[in-house]
Amino acid sequence: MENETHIIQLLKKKQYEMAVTAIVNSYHELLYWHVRKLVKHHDHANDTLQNTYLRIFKGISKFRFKSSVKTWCFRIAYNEGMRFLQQNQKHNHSDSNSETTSYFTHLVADPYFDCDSVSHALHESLAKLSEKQQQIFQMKYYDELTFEEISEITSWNINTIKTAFYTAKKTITIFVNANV
Amino acid sequence: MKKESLHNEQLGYFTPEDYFEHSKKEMLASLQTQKLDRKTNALFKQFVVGVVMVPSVVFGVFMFFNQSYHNDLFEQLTIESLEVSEEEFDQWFDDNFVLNDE
Repeated sequence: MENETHIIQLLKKKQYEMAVTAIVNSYHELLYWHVRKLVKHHDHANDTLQNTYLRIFKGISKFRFKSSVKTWCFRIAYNEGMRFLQQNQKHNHSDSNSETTSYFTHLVADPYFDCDSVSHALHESLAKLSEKQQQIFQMKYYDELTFEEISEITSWNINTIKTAFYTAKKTITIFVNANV
Repeated sequence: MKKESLHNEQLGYFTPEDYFEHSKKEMLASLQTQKLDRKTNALFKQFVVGVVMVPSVVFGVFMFFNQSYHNDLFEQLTIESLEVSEEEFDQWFDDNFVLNDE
């Protein structure tokens, strides 16, 4: 909150370059983990994050204080992650039966992924959810975003988000308890 | 740190050593380059605008005064024409209007 106030002060003074530096210093780790869970591979997350900062840098003067700076940055990072996934989907066509296999193939290909029994069960249960449910669950549980923030970031209806989260949580709990 | 261990332990996601410190510096440096590029582009744009605008303004000013000059000249010649006799008028007209390329 202190960081947010500082960034807003800089933006109000139109000190955009300093504001971007403050954003990188304050939200770097949060944004990285948010993007990492979307694109999964470390290198892809790194590239996506770099593009995110570039967009933040180019668009910072257009920030209109309608949301928090944190939500605005997450929204840009989310869209950048989605853009990356869409571009990748054009190259990787897979049928629905092989979705779980492709989910794991992609994860295992990353040298910065280390799977033990807990994470394997968790990923297996995540792979059973729809992409939307996976994103909502991860944003709520790992990024600790509120339902309102998730709605602002994704532009999805807040009630849909709540329903998707509770269904996803239930599915994951049942699966993990049965498999760990 | 809490986030990192949560992602490590539950999701098996790891990062290279000191990744956050290094990448933060790297990304800020990359933005610095963008900043310089943006300044260079802005200077280039100003230069292009200058190159286009200055001759246009000079041309506009020239045309304005040239027009005034022609108007003045025309009025002067019209007044002069009153003093020219009818026999000499054709010659006077050719000399001052037809053959004059100003």
